[in-house]
Amino acid sequence: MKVSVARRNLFSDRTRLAISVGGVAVAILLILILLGVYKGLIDVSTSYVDNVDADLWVAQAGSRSMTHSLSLISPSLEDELMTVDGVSEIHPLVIRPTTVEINGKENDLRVAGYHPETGLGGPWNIVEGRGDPGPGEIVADRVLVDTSGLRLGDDIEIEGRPLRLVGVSRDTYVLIYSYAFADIGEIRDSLGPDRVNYFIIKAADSGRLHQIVAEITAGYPGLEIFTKAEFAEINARDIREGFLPILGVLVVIAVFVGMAIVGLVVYSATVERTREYGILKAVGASGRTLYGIVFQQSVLSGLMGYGTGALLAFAVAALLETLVPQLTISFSWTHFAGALAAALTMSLFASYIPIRKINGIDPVIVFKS
Amino acid sequence: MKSNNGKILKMQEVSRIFGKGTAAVKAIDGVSLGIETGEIVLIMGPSGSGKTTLLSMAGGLLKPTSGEVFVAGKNLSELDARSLSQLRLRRVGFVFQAFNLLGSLTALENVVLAKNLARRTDKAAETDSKAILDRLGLGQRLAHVPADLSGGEKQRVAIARALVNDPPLILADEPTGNLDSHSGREVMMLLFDLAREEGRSVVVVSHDPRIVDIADRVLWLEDGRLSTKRSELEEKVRDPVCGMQMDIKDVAFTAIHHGQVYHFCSEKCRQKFLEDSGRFT
Ligand SMILES: Nc1ncnc2c1ncn2[C@@H]1O[C@H](COP(=O)(O)OP(=O)(O)OP(=O)(O)O)[C@@H](O)[C@H]1O
Ligand SMILES: [Mg+2]
Repeated sequence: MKVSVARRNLFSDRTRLAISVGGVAVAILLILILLGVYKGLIDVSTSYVDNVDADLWVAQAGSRSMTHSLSLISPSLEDELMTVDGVSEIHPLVIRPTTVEINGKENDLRVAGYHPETGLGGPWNIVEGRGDPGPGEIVADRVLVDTSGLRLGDDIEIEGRPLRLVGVSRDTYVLIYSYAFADIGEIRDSLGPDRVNYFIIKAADSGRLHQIVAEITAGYPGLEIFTKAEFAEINARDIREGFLPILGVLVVIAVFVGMAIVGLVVYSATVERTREYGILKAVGASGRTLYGIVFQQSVLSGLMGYGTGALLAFAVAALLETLVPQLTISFSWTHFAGALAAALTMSLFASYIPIRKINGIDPVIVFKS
Repeated sequence: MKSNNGKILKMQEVSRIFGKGTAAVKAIDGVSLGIETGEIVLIMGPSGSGKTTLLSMAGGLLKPTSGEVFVAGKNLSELDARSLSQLRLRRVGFVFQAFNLLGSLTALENVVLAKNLARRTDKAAETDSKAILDRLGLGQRLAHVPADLSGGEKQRVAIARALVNDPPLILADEPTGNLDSHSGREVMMLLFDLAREEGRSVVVVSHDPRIVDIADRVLWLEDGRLSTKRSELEEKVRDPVCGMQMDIKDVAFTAIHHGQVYHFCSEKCRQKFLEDSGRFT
């Protein structure tokens, strides 16, 4: 038979236990939601590149991400690049950032101009209508359509040209702008004559990608060529660099808040039982045993808080996604492992002050009534 | 090397000073004391004479300012904190006036916990604890928390806890101080019986003059100095209720009021006193 003083102490005051567990749960919830929003952002910021079924992206030399620098290349290169050994398909793409006014409200768009008959570069998830806009037609994102009260058949004016809404896509909203999709012919003129932004290439055999990259890099100093993964990473980098420091600060704050709550609760539970710790010392409990009692209380509340916080995170994420459709929250098991580490860190540091308190207890207290 | 020559507790020229400079109080002043194995020793003395201080040092809870304390042959000043804990756990059993049970644990758990501290978590830890509680008449109270036990029962649980790790030395500071005279007597008898049967030594601090007859030896502590002179025991005392003069060693009825001990000729006088102490003090 083993008597757990820690568990008895912890469960003897349910209100205090609830505060402690609740404190950790809120901190864990905050951490998980922050990480989920962050990963959601990264996911959507690369979702276009991820969903275009191409092996390689060709851009103007020196142009990096889609956000930062415009890539302008001549469409006439298409035929030349097609002759590179191993290239099986090549298509031009125009990605045009623009602003459209709908019902008096300005909306930021990125209109992807592509060849609808190939499907490459078009929407990948259609919730209404069609996904293959013909001449004079456009497919727009669900969030844009919902928030501006558009219906299929309405016109959206892109750079002075009215395009009829024929389809609604989803997973195409990236925090502040949404993707729209049109025939490349509708949008190419906005770049000026004889220019496109990118070529996308499908290789005949994925084993020969390096060879294609090498050949184009050597033969066309005016071009820069990326694999799909490289190009996705380049586009995620902006978000990562912009948000990671803020995210880091918020996560650290959450860990400290959790730590403070558990610390305070375990400290008050310890102070309240000062005499009992003195008794245990007097009858021969070692320092290690007493620290163990405090530490167990704090780890137990940490773990219960973690469990509660993790469950809450799923519920809150689902709720947030319905309330704020622009938001994509995406969890990964690494987040949960990280949050568990955070909960244990909270517990570890939360027991520091109570343990110091215990060190200071004089066992002679037992002789006083 | 055992420097105790069969003595379970040995104190040599032990002094303890509290405070510094002009505020310094010499609570214990050069006390030497040896307790034989199996001996029951009663220490008496007025309030503030240093009884608790002496007992704390004997049990390794308080360091002497000077002098040496040996328990079971070990010089306490040479032990580190860990060994001192071990010694308190396995060599010394404490019984306190304030019972000092853990409020969130049952009677049985309070006793088993002491076993657990001594690294015994097996089934035997539980059966041993039950057996000793049973011998103390608490077989029907195992699952009660201290709040649901009477004072006498609480003190018996505390005695069980003190005995469960089989210590050769029991230190008790006014174990009956919070009990009525009937349960106080019962508890002391139980403690002494168990100690005698198993050859344990007991040092008990008490104001209760009735223990005098049971103890093997009575020591008198006054102003931090120990003597065998039973100055108070030869004293005459007066019953504050009826005014009767008595020899203190014949007194069977006592009460403590505001830290002061009062003696009575009968339970009747004692009851009267307890009902309205203000009238008689
Ligand atoms: N921690 C302390 N700090 C300062 N003085 C102390 C401390 N502990 C005890 N004293 C003083 O030492 C003296 C002896 O105290 P102690 O508690 O040992 O007396 P006692 O004989 O047990 O008294 P009582 O019968 O009232 O319990 C007293 O004058 C007391 O005020
Ligand atoms: Mg005392």
